[in-house]
Amino acid sequence: MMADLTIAVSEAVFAKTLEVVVANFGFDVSGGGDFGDFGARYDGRLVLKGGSLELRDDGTIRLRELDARWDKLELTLGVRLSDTSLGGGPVDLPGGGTIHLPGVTLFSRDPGVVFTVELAPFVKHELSLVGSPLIQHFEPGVTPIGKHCQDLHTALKIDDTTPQWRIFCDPQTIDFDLFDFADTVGDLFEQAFTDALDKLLPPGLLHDLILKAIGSVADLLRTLLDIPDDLSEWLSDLFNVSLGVFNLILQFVADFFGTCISFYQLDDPFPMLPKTKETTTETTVELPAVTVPIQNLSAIVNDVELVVTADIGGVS
Amino acid sequence: MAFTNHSNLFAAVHENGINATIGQLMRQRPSLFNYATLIFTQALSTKFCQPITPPPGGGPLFTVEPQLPVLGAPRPLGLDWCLQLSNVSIDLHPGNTLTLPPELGPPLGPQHFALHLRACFGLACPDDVTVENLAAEMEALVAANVLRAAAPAAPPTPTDGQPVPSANVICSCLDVFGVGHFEWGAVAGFPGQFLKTRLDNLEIVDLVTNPPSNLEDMLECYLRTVLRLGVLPRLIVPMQNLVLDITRMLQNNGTAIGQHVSVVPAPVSAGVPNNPAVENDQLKVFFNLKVQ
Repeated sequence: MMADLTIAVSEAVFAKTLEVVVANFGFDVSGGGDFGDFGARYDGRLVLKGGSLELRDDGTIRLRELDARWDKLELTLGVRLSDTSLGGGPVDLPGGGTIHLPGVTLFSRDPGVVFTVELAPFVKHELSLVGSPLIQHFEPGVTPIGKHCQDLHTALKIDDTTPQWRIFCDPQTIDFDLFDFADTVGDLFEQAFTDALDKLLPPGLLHDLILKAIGSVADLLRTLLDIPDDLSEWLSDLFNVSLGVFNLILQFVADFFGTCISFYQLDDPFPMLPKTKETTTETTVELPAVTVPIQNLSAIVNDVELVVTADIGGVS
Repeated sequence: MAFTNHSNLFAAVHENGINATIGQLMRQRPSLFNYATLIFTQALSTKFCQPITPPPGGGPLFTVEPQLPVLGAPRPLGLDWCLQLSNVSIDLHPGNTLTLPPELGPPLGPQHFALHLRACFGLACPDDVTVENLAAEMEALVAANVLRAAAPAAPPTPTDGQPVPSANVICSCLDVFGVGHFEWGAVAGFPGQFLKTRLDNLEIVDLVTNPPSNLEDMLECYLRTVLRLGVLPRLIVPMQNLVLDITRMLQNNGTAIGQHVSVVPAPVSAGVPNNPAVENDQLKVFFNLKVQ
């Protein structure tokens, strides 16, 4: 028995739509927090690159290697350290005599160390997922919505008061590569500090002394921040709980590919003719909307197209 | 064979879906199918040729129309009437649910649809006593005009004419068949392509005069004109509404894009010989995606 309505969407449409979304998507993020001995701020803009969509014979849609790149991702860390004095005191000269070198006091300001690194070139994310269309008939007050999802609906002004057919992309596998935070940030920290020192002081004894101290300070920082072994875990935790960057990313994934935000929705009954007023010379008559019930909505994927079928309910 | 072998998008609606939609439309907005004078809301509310079920969402049962004027009357007089369309159904090629009359050359041709409806016209015919009484009034008015005598004071004249009272509605129902096709076309002042319904021919069944006269032709001409100018223009469908507006869908999902994504009809080719196509009891349309 043929369905009353059939709509087929080819793989090319998915590919083109992804292309348009990738070309137009941009998300600005900024924020920060103070955590006692240290503070952190971030400021960035997330864009998408690449990616491809493939319809598969097993009824799934595969998104491959959608890259999320940061046009800008500035991470500023500030750490409060106790004063540290280096050098100073008398030094005997080979030809006789003594000079007094001045001492250097580091980290006397509050916070002791503040540095900003541009992480954009080093921070790259990649998303691959396999999902299948999931159809839900949403009944207000009956169909359960989780609190997080409800909050998201409120924020996105999604109407949950109307019965709807909702089509989700139900993710079956998600592969989301963050990046190697530990090596990237650790190296950047030392490099940034060394570069700053190179600009401030010419090579020499004092330079070497401070450079040596930097190693100690770096160790001290790593100890303070508990980052020597798993910097990425710490940053992920920090961002996830306090800064929200990973929340943003994961939320983005959940919004578009989860079961909270449908990528297509159809009011049921579907409004065929809107509510209107018809005015004659004598009266104005209000005509209610004409709606048609949508039944048996289904979606099937094969390696060529997505086919959506539905029936129209008759007059009972 | 896949639906989208020769286009980006494909949409089809089965005749069952069209007829179910028409049924919903008749149920929920009966005023599109029933026309009558105002008196049918009151004294003649039970005198329709066919009873009208009140729509579930409220709203008028019929569209109010002016009375049929009594031509030549010295002051405006009107007869009440009603016109009701029912049993509206569509049969998409191949024809298998409607039996076309011989005048329309059955069987239904390829890429065409058949239309059937029942049209009932009811006229509130005044009885002799009423007419006699009104005739006396008319005579007095004529006499007053002709003989310049003082006429009895006439009641205020309504702009619509004074109804000629009647409780007797005479009904006559006719079956009307038509054949037509669908095509893409532009609408002046609006961008994009619209799916239009075109009526090719129409036949009123069982209206035969002997010897043959122009009466049937005249009525058919009138009905054809009503359908072409009054009904079918309401059925044009902007193409975007047929499948989906991807730009709007993305915007609804929080991704405002600078480009406009729309759909355009796929060109006719060996793979898509007809667009729109009427076949297998379905109306099919083929689109391609356009990014601007």
